[in-house]
Amino acid sequence: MSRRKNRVGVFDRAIALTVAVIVFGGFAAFLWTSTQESEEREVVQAFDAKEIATIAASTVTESEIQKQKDKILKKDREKKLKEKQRQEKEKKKLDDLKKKQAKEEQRLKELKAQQEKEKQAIALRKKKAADEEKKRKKKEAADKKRKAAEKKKREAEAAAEQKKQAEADAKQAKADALQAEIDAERKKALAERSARNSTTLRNRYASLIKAKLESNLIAPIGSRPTQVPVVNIQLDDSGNVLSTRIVTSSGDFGYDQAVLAAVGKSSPLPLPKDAPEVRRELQNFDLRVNL
Amino acid sequence: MNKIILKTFIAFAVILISQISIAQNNKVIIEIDPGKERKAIPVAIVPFAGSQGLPHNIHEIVANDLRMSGKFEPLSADRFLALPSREEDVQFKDWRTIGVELLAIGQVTPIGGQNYQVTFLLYDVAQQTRIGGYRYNVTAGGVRNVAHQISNYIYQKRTGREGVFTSKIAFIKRAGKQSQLQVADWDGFGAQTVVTSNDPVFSPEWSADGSKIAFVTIQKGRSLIKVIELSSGRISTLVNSSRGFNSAPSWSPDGKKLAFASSRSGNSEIYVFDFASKSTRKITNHWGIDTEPAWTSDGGSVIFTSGRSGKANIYEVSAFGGEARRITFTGKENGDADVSPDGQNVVVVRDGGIAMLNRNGQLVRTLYASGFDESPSFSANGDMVLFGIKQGYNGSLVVSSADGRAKQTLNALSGNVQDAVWSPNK
Repeated sequence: MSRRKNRVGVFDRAIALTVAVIVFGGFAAFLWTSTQESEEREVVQAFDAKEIATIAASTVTESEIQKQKDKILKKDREKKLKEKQRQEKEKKKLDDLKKKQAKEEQRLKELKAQQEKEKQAIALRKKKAADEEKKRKKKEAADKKRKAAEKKKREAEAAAEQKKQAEADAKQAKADALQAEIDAERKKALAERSARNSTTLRNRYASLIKAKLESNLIAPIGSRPTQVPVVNIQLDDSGNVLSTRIVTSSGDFGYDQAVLAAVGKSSPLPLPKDAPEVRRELQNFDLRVNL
Repeated sequence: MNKIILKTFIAFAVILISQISIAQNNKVIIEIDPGKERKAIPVAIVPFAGSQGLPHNIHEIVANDLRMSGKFEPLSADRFLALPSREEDVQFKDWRTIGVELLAIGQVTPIGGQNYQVTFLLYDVAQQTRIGGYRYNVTAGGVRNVAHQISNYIYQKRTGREGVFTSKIAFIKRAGKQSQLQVADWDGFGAQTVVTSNDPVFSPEWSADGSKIAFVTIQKGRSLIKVIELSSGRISTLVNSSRGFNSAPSWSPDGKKLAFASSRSGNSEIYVFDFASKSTRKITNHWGIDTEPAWTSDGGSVIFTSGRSGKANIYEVSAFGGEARRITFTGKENGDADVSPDGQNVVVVRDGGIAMLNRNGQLVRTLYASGFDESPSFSANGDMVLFGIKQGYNGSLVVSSADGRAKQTLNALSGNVQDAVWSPNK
């Protein structure tokens, strides 16, 4: 950073030096041209005085004088014309010079303006650069700060996350354990409830079966069963009686037959359609006919 | 995650196993409580096809037999939804609908001359199966017997016991001074005279095997117990005595002894004659009149009517004699007892009616009460009781189911009939 700053400083100084050289150069040129013009004028004046002295000394004969006079007049006129021409030339030269000078001035002025403008532009650029640099630096600093902050934040977050994760893991493990426990409990409860429900359902259908069998049993006249008959009954899924088997005879053939007939007449017996487990239990049962 | 799946799996497995064990260990038992009520078994006896030409309708005979047993209730044919006579025509639902448990169908086909082929099939409507059937070749005269055989078949298939529908009854028909010992089908049809006598004949009694009939007759002032061998018609005297009346013969269940009443010693007592040893043993000894002996079903003792209490009552005594035990204590008079084949009941004449008692003399039910009822007799299986009643001056025979619900006067018997007894064979 500081190196970059130094580099910028050198550059700045170089620009300043260049500008100074240009400015002083300008001034030197200007002063040199002014000195040359005044020397030319002194030379012209010195020449005129010498001429006049010469003329005054030569005015002797009339003709001659006339001639001389004409000559002098002519010469004078010529001289005057020449002078005038010279003056005009001088004037033109001066005008040109003035023009040139004005032009130069203008040029200088423009240059100056240009320089000023450039200077301003440079200053502006410099300022801009400085601003930018400042901005950049600021931004950089901000970035750095932000990055640092972010990093810190990230690190903090990571740490927090890690911690959180660890906590969560621990929590999850705990929850899992709890859940497993709850699940086990629930399953147990469910099984119990299911068993209870099954029992309820089974009992309900057992009651229906009982009612149907009871209503269909015609205990024959004169029959004298001597013990509680037990008949094993097997049903298909629809409750149709598949088979009947006398496990324990009543001791009275006719009574046994009546029980079998009651079973036959009761076919199909009611079975739960939607509870296969209960149905299965009821598909094979022992019928006891209490005497 | 895997753990959860594993746990779930284990839980399921546990549930599954536990339920299977429930199913295995706690087999479902359904108890029903039908109560004590007893009912007749509803049956359908379909008119036999082709029986129009026969003198008797087989289905009517069968239905009557079954009805009179008290154990069956043949439904009236007008309730039938179909009249099948062949197996392919049987639709069980037709018979389930009307609630019958048994269905009998059949047909009669003339096979030339007076001969017919009778086919009969029996179905278990409740269990929707054919129980069985029979095919008989008979003459027109044998149709009634075939019908009774069909009844026996049905009865046996459903009750496990032998029917008595081919059994006979013996009775005395009086026509003026003439007495006739007659034998008929249990329902009074096919009566045949076995003995005709201008002497009084009474108290017929079947031998234990049903091959002979003992009876009492009075000849030359003496009352004798005679016996007729049915196959040969040969008559012989079983009991005779120089003095007193001999009456009321009763064959022991094993056929080896004959109990009777005799006043040979002055007072009427009960005697037992042993066929093997030809010896007679007096098993009662009381100043009151002891008469009308009847064997208990086990043959160990004899119950009889005695006036020793001042009025007629039923007593029981060992077949070898000894102290008599009084059975009846109610009713003004109790007499002429018959013991049911199962030994559980006694049917008696009580105050002019027919009463079913238990072995302790308590009334089970009154079967009939016309005021002049006499001579009750159990059928061999105890299902029915035969007895005499008075219709005007004439005696008639009536059969009642033992439970008293079904009763039938044997109208096939004409004239003055009495002293009926049911044959011991079935």
